[in-house]
Amino acid sequence: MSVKYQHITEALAQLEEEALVQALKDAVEAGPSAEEAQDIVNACTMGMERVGDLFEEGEYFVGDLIYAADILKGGMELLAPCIGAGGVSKIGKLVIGSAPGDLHDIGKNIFIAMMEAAGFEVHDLGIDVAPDKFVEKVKEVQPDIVGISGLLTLSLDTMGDVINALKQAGLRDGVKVMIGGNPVSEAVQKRVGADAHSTNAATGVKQCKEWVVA
Amino acid sequence: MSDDVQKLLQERVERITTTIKIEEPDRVPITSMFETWAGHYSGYSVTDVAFNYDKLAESFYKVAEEFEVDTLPPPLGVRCGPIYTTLGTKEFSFFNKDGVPHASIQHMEGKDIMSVEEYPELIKDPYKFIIEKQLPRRYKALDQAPDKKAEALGKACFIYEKYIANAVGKLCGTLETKYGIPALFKSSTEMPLDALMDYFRGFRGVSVDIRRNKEQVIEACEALYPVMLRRAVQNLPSGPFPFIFIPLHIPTYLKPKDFETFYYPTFKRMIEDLISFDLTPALFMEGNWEPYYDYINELPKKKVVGLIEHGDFKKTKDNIGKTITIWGGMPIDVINNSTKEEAIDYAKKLIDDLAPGGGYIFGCDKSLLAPNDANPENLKAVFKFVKEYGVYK
Repeated sequence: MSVKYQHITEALAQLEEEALVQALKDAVEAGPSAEEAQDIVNACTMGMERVGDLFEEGEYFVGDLIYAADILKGGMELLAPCIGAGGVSKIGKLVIGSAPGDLHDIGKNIFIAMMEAAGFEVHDLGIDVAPDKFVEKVKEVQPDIVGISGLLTLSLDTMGDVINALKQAGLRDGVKVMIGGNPVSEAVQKRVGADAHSTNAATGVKQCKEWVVA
Repeated sequence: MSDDVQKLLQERVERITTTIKIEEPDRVPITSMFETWAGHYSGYSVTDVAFNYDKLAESFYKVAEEFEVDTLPPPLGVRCGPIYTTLGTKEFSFFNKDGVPHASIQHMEGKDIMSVEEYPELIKDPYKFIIEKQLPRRYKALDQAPDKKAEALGKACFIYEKYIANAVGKLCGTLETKYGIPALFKSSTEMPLDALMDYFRGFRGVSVDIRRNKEQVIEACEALYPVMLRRAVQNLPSGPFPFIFIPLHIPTYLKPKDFETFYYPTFKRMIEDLISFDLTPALFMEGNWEPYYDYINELPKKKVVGLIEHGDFKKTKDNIGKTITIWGGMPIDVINNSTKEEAIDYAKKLIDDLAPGGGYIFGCDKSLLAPNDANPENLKAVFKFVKEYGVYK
C-alpha cells in the first residue's frame, strides 16, 4: 500500500472521525489520479481491516464496529467525486439476506458494511428472504459467496431451506455458503450444510476473504 | 390448595430463596425461560397463545405438568397480542402479511423514533417526550387527533387489564394452587441506556451517540432513570422472591471503558435501589460478560441473580459466584444437537462447576421461543438428571 495515505488507515483504525474526515478532505482537494483514488480507498480498506483485527483481539466491541462503519460511510461519500465511472476494483461477490422468516438485520448490516469495506461487491436481498429469491439472485449475479443471516433461532431451520433450494437449482457447488448471527454454531453449520458459520462480522469477513483469495 | 401442593410450593420457594443467599438448599433449583415454545409444545402458534389466553394457560399448565420445574416465568415474553394490534405497533410482529403466524414473535427496531437533535427535549422532560413524541411514533393509533388517541388508549387499557387478570394473574395463580409452582418474576424493567437504545435511538444511534454526543447520552440515562425505576417497583408485594426481570441488551457490545462511562452508573444505582426495596434483580446477562466481571463484583453481595449465556462457567463461578447467583448455562444448542447422554454429561459438568456452595439455578442459556428451540425429550432427561445429581449432601 501507499505510505502516502497511511494516516488515513491510522485514523480509521483508531476511530478518530475528525482526523479521518480532515485527511480525506485534504486528499480529495489535492485532485488525485484514478490510481491515487484507488490507493485512498485501499487505505480505508486497510483501516477497516485493522478495526476487524482489534475486534478479534478483544480491544474493540460490536459498538465500535458500528461506529467504524458509520464513519467509513461518511468517508466514502467524501471520496465519491474522485472515483470514476468504473468504480473501484472488487475482490469478490456476495449475495446476502436475512433467513426466511427472520425480520432482523442489524448484524447483517454490520457485516455488509465490513464486506464492502473489504472490497466485496454486495447484493443485499433484505429481510425475510424466501429461498427462491436467493436462487434467483444467485443465478443472476453468480456470486462467490452466499450469506444467510439470522438473529432468531427459527432461522436455524430456514437457513437449511435456502441451502436445499440452492442444491435443487444446481447452484450449491458453485458458491460458498456462510451462515451468520448469534444463534449459529458448528453443529448448526453441519446440520444445514453450510461451509462456514460466524457469530460476528469480523471473523465472517476474514473467512470470506480467504475464500476469494484461495 | 391441597396440603401436598402447599408443601411442594413451600419447598420450591425455600429452595430458591436459600439458593439466592448463596447457601446450599436441598438441591439445585431448576427453571428456564419458557415462552412461546410452551405454546408450540401444545401445538399452538404464537398467534394462538398471544391472542387467546385460554390456549396460553393450557400450554403453560402442560409445561408445568410435564417438566416439573421449580418456578416458571409469567408469560410476559409471549406478550399481549391484542394490545399491539389495537395500538398499531410498528415494532412487534406476530404474523406475516398473509396472516401466517411467525415461528416466534419478532421485534424490529423502531425507525426514526427520536432524532439526535431531540436529546435536549428528552432530557428536559422524559415523560412528556414519551407521551407526546415517542409513543405516537411507535404506535399508529396514538398518532391521531386527540379524541381518536384517547379512544385508542382507553381500548388499550381495557385490553391490558383483561390481559393482566387472565394471562398473568389467573395463570400464575393456577400454577401455584394446582401445581405448586411459584412465579419467577413479579415485575420487569430495563436499564436506562438499554431503554434509550430499544425505544428511542436504536442500536446504531446509541453506538454513534456515545462518541458524538457523549454528555447527552449520559444526561438522557439520568433522565430516564426515575421512569425505569418506577416501572419496576410500582405496587409490588415486597420480598426477595419472585424476582424483578431485567434484560440487559447493549453492555456486551460496549468496550469495558464505554460500559463504565455510559452504562454502569445507572445500572449500579438501579440494582442498589431495587435491593433497598427488598427486591431481587434477575439480570439477563446476554452475550459474553467475562470482560465486565469486575463491575459485577462491585454490586451488593448475595442479592442479585444473573442468567449467563456464554463463557467458561468454572471461571464464572470463581469470579462472580460469591457476589451473584448464577442461573442458566445449559445451551439449547446442546439440547438440540446432541444425544441425550451428551446433554446429560454437559449438565453434569455445569452442576460440578456451578453448584458447590449454592448460588446456582439450573436452566437453559436462552429463552425458549421457536418450535425447535428445545428437543423436549432431551430437555426432560436433563431436568430429571439435575433433580437427582443436583442434590446437596
